[in-house]
Amino acid sequence: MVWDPEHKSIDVRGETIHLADIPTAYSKVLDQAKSLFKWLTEGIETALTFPYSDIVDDLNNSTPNYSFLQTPLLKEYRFRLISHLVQSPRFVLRVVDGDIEWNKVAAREWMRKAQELNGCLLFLIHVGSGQPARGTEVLSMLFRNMQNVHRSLFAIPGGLATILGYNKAWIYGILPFSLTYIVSLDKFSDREGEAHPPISPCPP
Amino acid sequence: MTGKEKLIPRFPHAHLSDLLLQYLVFVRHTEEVLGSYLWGQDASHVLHHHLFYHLNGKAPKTGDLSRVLENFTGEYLKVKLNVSTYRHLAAAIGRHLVVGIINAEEEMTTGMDAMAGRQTTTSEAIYGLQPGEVGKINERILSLFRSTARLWHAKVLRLELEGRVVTLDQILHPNTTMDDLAGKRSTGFGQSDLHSLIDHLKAIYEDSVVNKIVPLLMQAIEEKMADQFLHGGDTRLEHVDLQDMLPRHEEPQPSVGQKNKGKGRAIVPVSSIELYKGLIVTNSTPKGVRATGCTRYHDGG
Repeated sequence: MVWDPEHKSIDVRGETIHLADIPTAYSKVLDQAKSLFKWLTEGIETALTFPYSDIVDDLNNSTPNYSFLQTPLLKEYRFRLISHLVQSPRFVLRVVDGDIEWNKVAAREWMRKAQELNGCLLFLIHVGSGQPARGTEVLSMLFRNMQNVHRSLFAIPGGLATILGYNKAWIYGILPFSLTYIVSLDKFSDREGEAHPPISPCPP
Repeated sequence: MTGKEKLIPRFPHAHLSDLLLQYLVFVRHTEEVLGSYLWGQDASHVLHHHLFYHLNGKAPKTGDLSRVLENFTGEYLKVKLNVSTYRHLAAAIGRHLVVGIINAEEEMTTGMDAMAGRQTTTSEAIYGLQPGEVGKINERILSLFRSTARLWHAKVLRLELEGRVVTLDQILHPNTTMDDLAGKRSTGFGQSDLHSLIDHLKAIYEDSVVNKIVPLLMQAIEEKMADQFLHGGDTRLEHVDLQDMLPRHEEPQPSVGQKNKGKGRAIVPVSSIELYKGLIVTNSTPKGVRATGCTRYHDGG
């Protein structure tokens, strides 16, 4: 890495990166992610109409499959999109005895876009959360507990946060212990009582 | 340090946090249903737990992050960065924009280390969360990491953030309040504010005195000496060694990183002040006194 004398750009293996381009690049990926989210949700209402602080996460809960997404408050939102797709003739060919026969072409296209969005989020989280984690740590990120592995995405006051275990010796970043300090939202004042910022699906 | 686990909290900015929450709430369940239909139960298991996944709903693989990084950086920065090169770039940028260190050899005493999983004395003392100390992951530690992340958001990504972005000095200062760290306006004048004020005054002093006044003084002294020489003043040219004086005039300023050391202490560029003190004294001394530009003015006392 070689800086230019004015510290406006940096050479990486012979290629120049201008510092001013980094925010622009980041914004473009963020816009791309929002656009993909809009495409995937097919125009359904995606605003969360409750304060963010109503989402309760228990960092200490190591029950398999536990996640802050289990908050009853979120239940009506979680099934909104799949309910919408089930009613779409583009996605559903027929329903036999309660089993849905999906249109595989439409389903594959939808999943391809979903995976693009997933890639955008991977980039945005890796670049946008400060000094980057190591690759294995990021990729191993869980949002639900597994049988013996604690999740690493939490809903804490002020927004979602990742808490990743770090050990140079690890091949696969898991947390081999449970967090012993229960952090509940009422211990914090940050954003407490504040209405969740209007989460509009995407800019028009 | 191999063998010691640490917990590293990281904070996406508010817009990303909101988008991620929406993604998990609205999209992920449908991904799980369709992924299961297309690729089977294994895909369903991965999509049920893992935030990121490989093609066809498989568990993420080592090269996935590099592939994504190379894709986006190649497209938008015209340089393909992989995991390793991006980490190096982020460290260099963080040192410069967030910490204010330019010389790569200088010590980086900041939570930036901890976020990257690096260990230095200061970050270890402030942020180190060893397995036996997991219970200490508390509001204060989360706030320290969050405010460090906010610095990154503001200075590197140039995002518009709600509230005040605290400086690195404030983050590292033990008396900085939680409200300060959260970027909330404080009602009083705290010690961290005093600390910031000292840094601010120090910067103003160095800018005004060292960079502006000293050169003017030097110029005035040179003109005065030249004038005295031309009009038969007391000081004779052979007694004044200008070559000794001029290079000191161009003394390099301390780097930003050097300035950051010794927080809370006004750093006075003593050599510059003594330099022009010395010149003033020299200019008015009688014959036989040699100006050296150093703090010792008189050869023979």
